[in-house]
Amino acid sequence: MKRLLKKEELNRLLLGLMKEYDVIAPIDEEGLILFRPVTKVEQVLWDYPNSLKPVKEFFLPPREVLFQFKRGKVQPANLSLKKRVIWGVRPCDARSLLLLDKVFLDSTQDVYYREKRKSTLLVGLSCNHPEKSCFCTSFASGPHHKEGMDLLIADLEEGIFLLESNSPEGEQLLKGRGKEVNKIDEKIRTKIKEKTERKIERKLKPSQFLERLTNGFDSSYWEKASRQCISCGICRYLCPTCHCFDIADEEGERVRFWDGCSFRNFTKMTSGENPRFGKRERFKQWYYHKFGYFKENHGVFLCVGCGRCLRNCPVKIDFSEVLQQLPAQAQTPAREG
Amino acid sequence: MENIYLPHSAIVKEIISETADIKTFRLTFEDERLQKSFTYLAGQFVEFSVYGVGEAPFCLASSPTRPGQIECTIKKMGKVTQAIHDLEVGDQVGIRGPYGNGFPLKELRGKNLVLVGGGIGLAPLRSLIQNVLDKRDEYGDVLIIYGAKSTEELVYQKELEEWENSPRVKMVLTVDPGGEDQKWQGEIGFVPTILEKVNPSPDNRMLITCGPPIMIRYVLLGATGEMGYRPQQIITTLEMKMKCGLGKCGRCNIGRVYICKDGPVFTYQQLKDLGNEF
Ligand SMILES: Cc1cc2nc3c(=O)[nH]c(=O)nc-3n(C[C@H](O)[C@H](O)[C@H](O)COP(=O)(O)OP(=O)(O)OC[C@H]3O[C@@H](n4cnc5c(N)ncnc54)[C@H](O)[C@@H]3O)c2cc1C
Ligand code: SF4
Ligand code: SF4
Ligand code: FES
Repeated sequence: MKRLLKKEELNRLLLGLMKEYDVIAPIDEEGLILFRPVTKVEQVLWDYPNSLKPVKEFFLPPREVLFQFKRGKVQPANLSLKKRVIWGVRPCDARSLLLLDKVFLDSTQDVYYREKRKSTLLVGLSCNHPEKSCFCTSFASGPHHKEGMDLLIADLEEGIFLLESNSPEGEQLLKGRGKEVNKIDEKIRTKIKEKTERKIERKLKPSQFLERLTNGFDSSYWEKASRQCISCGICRYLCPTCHCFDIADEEGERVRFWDGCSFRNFTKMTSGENPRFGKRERFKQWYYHKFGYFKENHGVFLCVGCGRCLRNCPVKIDFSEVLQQLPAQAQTPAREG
Repeated sequence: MENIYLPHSAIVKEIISETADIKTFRLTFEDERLQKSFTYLAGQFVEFSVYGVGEAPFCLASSPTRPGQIECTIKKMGKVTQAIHDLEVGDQVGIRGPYGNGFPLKELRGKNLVLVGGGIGLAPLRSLIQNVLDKRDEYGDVLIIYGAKSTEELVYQKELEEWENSPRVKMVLTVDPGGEDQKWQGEIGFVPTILEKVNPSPDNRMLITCGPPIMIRYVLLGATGEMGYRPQQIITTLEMKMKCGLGKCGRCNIGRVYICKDGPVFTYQQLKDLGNEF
C-alpha cells in the first residue's frame, strides 16, 4: 500500500506510534547522531547523515545478560519486550538485519535476537543526500530500497512524503492516512530516487572480489595493506553486519559482549596456540569473512555499503581500496608461520 | 522454542584422577528424562559450565553405546578447567550440547582402523574405541597407537589393558624419549615416529588422529608420505577457541567453515580444500 502524507500527518503518525510503542529514532546527542528512545516528536531528526552506530545495538546489544544463576539455579533473562518501532532507519541498515537473520535465525535460533526482532517494527526513511562514503548500490541495496522494512518513508521534498508499506503491519499503520498516490507522485518519486542513486559516487563490483580473494590468500599484499591498521576494532564494532561476540561470567550472571576478529585474544587459546596471531591474519579475516566465506555460504556479501567502517577508521583505511588493490593474480606466497 | 545458551543442570557422580593435571568427570543430568533422551555421536563435544567462572568446550570421552552417564576428560589449563578440577562429587554443573559433527561412523564401518592419539587427544578417540568395541562385528581390525610425554601422563591406564585384551585390537603404547621409567615395556619415541615404524598398511583402512597440533602435523605428513595413505583416508579433529558452539559468535571460523558446527572432525582432504590457515 502506498499513501501520500503531509509533514503534519507524518508527525501525527509518529505521535500515535509513541503512544502505543517504545519509539527509537535518530537524535542529535551532543553532536553525535544516534538512535535513542524518544518521547517527543521534536527530538527526532528528519534529514541526517546516517547514525554513528548502526541499529544492530537494539538486536545484539554491546552487553547483554543471557541468564542469571543463583546457587546453581539458572534463571533466563526476561525476554519479553514492549512492542517497539525503530523510526528513521536507513535502507542499508534495514538490510543489515536481513543479513544478521541468516546468522541468528538459522536452524539454531538465538531467542534473544529473535524476540527483539519479533517485537520491533522498522519504519525507514529513504536517503536523498547520500554521503561520499556511501555505496549501498554496490551491495544489492539503494537509497530508496524498502527491503527489510515494514514501512518506507520517501521524502518527495516540499513537505510531502510518499509512504510505502512492506508488510501487513506496515499496511496497518498506513490505513486511513493521507491520500492516494497518483501517477505524477510516482514519477516525482522515481526521479528523486534516480537522482539520489546518481549522487552515489562509489561504485564497486564486489563479484570481482571473490576471485581475487581466492587467489590472494597467501599474497604478501596483505602485509602491506594491514601495516597502518592499529587493530582498534572500530570497523568491526560500528559495522551493522559484524556480529562476533564473547561470552563470560560476571557476578551472578552470564553475559555476552561484542567482540571482533581484529583482537589477538579473539582466537588465542589457553595453550598459547593462535591461528590468527599476527595483525595481517586478523586484518585479513574480516575481508575473507565478509566478502568470501559469507558469500560462499549464504550467497550474499556480509556488507550493506553503509560506509561506517571507512568513515570512522582512525587511520583512514578504506576497505574498498584494499579489495580493489588486491592483485588479481596470486603473488609470491608469504606462508604464515 | 529452546534457548540455545541455557545449560542443563548435571551432577558430578565420579571423578577419576588420570594424571597430575588430568581428571575424568562422570556426570548425569539432573532431569532424568533428559538423561534418557540425551544422545550424541563419538567425536561430538559439549559446553561445560561452572557458574560464576565460565564455560569451555570438551569432547565427550564416553560412548553413546554406554548410556546412563556422560564423561569428559579434562586437562587443567586456565580458569574454567581449574574450576572444574576443584569440583567434588555431588557438585552441580551446567552442560549444553552435544555440538559438532562427530566421527563419520558410516565411513568407518567395515574398515580396519588405526587410531593415533597423543596426550589428552585420546579422549575423543576413547569414545570411538568404546563405540567400536561395543559393535565389534561392524568394524575390521583396530590398531591403537597412543603416546604421552612420560609414563605418568598416559590417561585411561586401566582401560588401556582392557582394550589390549579385546578381540582384534592391537595396542602400541609409547612415551617420548626420557619419559620412560624402569618398568616401561612399551615403545620409546614420538607418536609419528612410532606410527611410521609400525607402518600399518593403508589397504581398506582409515586413520584417525587426535592430539597436539604438532603431533597431528607430523602424523599427516608421515601417513600421506611413504605410508601411502590418501588424504580421504585420514580423519582428524581440529581445535579452535570457542564460545557459542553454534556457529554464531564467529570465533572458530576458518575458511568457509565453523569448527564448532561443521567440525571438529574433518578428513585431511577437507582440510586441504579449506586452504591454508592450518
Ligand atoms: C572441540 C573441542 C574439544 C575439546 N576437548 C577437550 C577435552 O576433551 N579435554 C580437554 O582437556 N580440553 C579439550 N579442549 C580444550 C579446552 O576447551 C580448553 O583447554 C579450555 O577451553 C581452556 O579453558 P580455560 O577456561 O581453562 O582457559 P582460559 O585461558 O581461562 O580460557 C578462557 C576461555 O577461552 C576459551 N578457550 C580457551 N582455549 C580454548 C581452546 N583451546 N579451545 C576452545 N576454547 C578455548 C574457552 O571458552 C575458555 O573458557 C577442547 C577444545 C575444543 C575446541
Ligand atoms: S578501524 Fe581501521 S585501524 Fe581500526 S581495526 Fe579497523 S581497519 Fe584497523
Ligand atoms: S563493511 Fe563497512 S560498509 Fe560494509 S556494512 Fe560494514 S561498516 Fe558498512
Ligand atoms: S564457537 Fe562460536 S562460532 Fe564456533
